[in-house]
Amino acid sequence: MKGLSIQHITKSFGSSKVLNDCSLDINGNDFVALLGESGSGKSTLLRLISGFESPEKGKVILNNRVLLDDQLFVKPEDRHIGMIFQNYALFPHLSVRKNIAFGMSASPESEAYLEELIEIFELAEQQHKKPSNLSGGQQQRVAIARALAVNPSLLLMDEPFSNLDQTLRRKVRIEIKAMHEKFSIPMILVSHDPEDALELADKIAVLQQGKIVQFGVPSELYYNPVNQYVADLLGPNTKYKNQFIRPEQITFNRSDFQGKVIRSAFSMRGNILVIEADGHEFLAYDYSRTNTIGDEVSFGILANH
Amino acid sequence: MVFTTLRMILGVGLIAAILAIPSAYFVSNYQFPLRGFLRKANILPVAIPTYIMGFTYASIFSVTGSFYAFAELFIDRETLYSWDIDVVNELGLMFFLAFALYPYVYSAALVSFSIKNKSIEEAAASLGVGPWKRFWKVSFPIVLPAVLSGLALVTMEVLNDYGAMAYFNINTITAGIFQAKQMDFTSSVFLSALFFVVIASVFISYYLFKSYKKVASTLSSPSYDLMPMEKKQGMLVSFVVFIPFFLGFILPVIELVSLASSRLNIIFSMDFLIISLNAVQLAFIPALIIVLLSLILLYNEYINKGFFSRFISAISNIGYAIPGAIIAVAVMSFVIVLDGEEKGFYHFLIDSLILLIFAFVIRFLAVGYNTLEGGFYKITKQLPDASRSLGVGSFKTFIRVYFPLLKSALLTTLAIVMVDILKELPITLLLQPFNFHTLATVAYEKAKITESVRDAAPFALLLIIVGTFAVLFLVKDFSKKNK
Repeated sequence: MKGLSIQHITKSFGSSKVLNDCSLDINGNDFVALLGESGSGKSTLLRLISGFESPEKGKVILNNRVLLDDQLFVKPEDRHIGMIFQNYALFPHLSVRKNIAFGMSASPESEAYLEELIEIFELAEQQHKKPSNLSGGQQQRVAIARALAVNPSLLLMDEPFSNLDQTLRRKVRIEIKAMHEKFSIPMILVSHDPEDALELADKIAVLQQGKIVQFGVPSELYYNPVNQYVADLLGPNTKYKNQFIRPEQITFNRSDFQGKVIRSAFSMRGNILVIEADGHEFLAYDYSRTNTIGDEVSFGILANH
Repeated sequence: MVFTTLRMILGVGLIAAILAIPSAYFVSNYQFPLRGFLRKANILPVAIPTYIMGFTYASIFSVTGSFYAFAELFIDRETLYSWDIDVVNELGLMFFLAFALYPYVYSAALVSFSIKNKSIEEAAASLGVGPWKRFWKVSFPIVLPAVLSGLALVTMEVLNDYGAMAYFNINTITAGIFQAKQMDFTSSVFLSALFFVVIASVFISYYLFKSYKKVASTLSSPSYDLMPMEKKQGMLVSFVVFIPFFLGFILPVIELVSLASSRLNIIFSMDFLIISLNAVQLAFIPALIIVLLSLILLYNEYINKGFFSRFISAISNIGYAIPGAIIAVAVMSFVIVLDGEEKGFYHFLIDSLILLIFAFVIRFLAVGYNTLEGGFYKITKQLPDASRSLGVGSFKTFIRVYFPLLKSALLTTLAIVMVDILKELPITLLLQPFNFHTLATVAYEKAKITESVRDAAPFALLLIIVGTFAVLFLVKDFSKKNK
C-alpha cells in the first residue's frame, strides 16, 4: 500500500510525554496538515518520521517499508524522506546550485534534472549566488528544490511559512499547492496557522496532548470539530447545543433568535459582533457595518456550508 | 600550607573583584572617553602569565628598579630608603596575581551587566532610585553569579600557579607537589595537597564549565544605548577604568621592554630563535591533537545525543580544573606503575616529549573544547539534519557541512590552545626532557635561578606578544560571530 502509517508512537522528553500512543495513516499522495498548539508534539512527530528522533515505542511504515519498530531503526539518510526546515537550513557556504545538487548523485540524468528544477523554481539567475544573498521567498524555493532533487518518497515541511510576511506567505502557499500537484508525492505540513492548513491540505490532523484527536477533510474539521480544542484551533466559534457555530454561519436575514449587540469591532470582512442571545454569546460578521453596541438584532443560523 | 593557599585564593579573589567589577559596570552602562578601547584593553592582562607578572613587579620594586628611580624624582633618597618597601611577600603577590587574573572576573561580569541589566536598571531609575543604590540593589545581585564564576577561574589559576609562588617563596600546595616530586609521592605533604586540590577542583568545576563559555562570548558589542555622562565625570570614570589596565598590562610591559632593551644580544642570538621554535613546535603538536579531539567529542555529541556523550565530554573537560603540577605527577606516576619495578618497556616514556604532550592534552582539552564549541553551536543543528535528509551519511555530512563551516573556528581554537601551552609552566618544568627548554621555562629559570630578570625579559616579552595576539584574535573572532 502506498502511503505512510504511524502506529502507537510514544515519545517522552524527560518526564513529559510529548507523544502518547499516537497513530495516523496517510494514503496515496495526500497533502496532510498537522495542526496543534505549540508544545502539542507536531514537530517531534515530524522528526520521528524523518528519523532525527527515536521513540520509546511505535512503528513507522512508508510505502510498505518498515522504517522503525521495536527492532529496526532506519537512519535518516536511508529513509528517502525530504524535509523543509523552518529556517530552510540552506548550506551557507554553497551556492544555490550546489545546495540543490547536494544530495544528488553525479550522472547525466541528475544533471538534467538539476537544470529542470532550477528552471521550475525560477532560480536560473540566482544559481551561483550564496543563500545569504537571496530573499526569503527565493530561499524557500531553494529549500524545496533541494528536497525534491533526491526524489523523496515523502516530503515533510516544518512551519515553512513562519519566516515569510503575509503577502509572500499567500504567494508561496499557491506555489506549494501547485508543486504538490506537479510532483505528486505525499506531503506533511506542520503549522500552527489554521489558514495554511485549511487552504493547502487535503486532510488535516489535529494533535492534542500527544494524540491525534481528529483527522479528516478541512470542512469536516472546521464545521464538525470533535471538541472545543479543535474548534478553537481552526477559528472563532460559539458552542451552542453541542454544535460549534462559526461567525459566517450567522445570518441577519432570518429571525430565529432575538439578541442584543454587546461588543463590536472592526475587521476586514465586516464588523465582528458579539450578540447575546438565548444565554450564549454568538459571534457574527456584520458585512454591512450597520449594527452598533446596544442594538437589538434578530438572526438565524445557517447549516454547514 | 593549606592555609597559605586559602589566604592567597581569598586575597587574590578580593583584589581581582575590586579591580574588575567597577570597570565592567561602567563599561557596560555608561558612555565616557576611550570607553571602546578600555572595554577591550581590560581583557589584555590575561596575556601575561602569572609568573612573569610576579617577577616583573618584583623587579619594578627592587632597589635598582624603576619604582625607586621614578620616586627619587620627587622624594629624596634617604627618606625613600627609610620606608623599606618590600613587596616580595604574600600581600605583594596577592596584588600582582590579581593584576594578571582580574580579566576573568571582568569579562564574566561584563556579559552579565550587558545582557541583563539595561532594562532593569532603567526600570529602577524610573522608580526614582539613584545610581549608587541602583548598583547595590539592582545590578550587583544580578551579576553576582557571573562574578562568582569568574572568581572560580581566578581560584583555579591561583591553585595552578607554581612559578610566581616559588619566586616569592610562598609555600602553597603546588609547591608541596614539587617538593614531593623530588622525594616521595606518599609523603604527607603530597597527600594533603592532593586532598585539598581534589576537593577544591570538584567544588569549582561546576562554575568553571558555565563560565568559560561566558568569558568567550562577552566580547561582542552591546547593541543598546549607553547612558551619557558629564565631561568631568566621564574623565574620572575613564581614569578609574584605566587603572586596572595600567597595572595589569602597561606598567609590566613597559618594564619588560626597558629590561629587554639592555639585552638585545639575547634577542638576536641563535639560542633565542631555537628556543622560540622549540616552544612553538612543542605547542603545535598537542594543540593539533586537542583540536581534533574536541572536534570528535563535539560531533559525537551531535550524532549520539544523550547522557553518555555529554558525560564523556564533561570527563574530558575536567583536566582544566586540576592544577598542572598534579597532572604532571599523575601522568608520571601512571607510567611508573605501568612500567613496574624493573626498567621495562615503558621506561622510555619518562623524560620524553610524549609524556609532556600527553599531559598538555589532558590539561588543555577543555580550552580547545570550549573554544570550538562556540563555533560548533553557531552551526544550527538543522544543517546536518538537512544534509542527512538528503541521503548523505553522518561522516560525509561532517566533511561536507561541518568542516568547511568550522575552518575559521578551528584555526582560532588552534591558536588559543597553542598560546595556553606556550605560557604553561608547572607541567613543562616537571616533565621537560633533559636539556629541552621552552620560552616559559627559560623565562622562569633565568628570573628565578640566575636571578636575572633582565635575561628573562626578552623571553617573557615574546610570550606576552604572542599571548596578546591570541587574545585580540579571540576578541575579534567573537565580535564578528556575534554580529
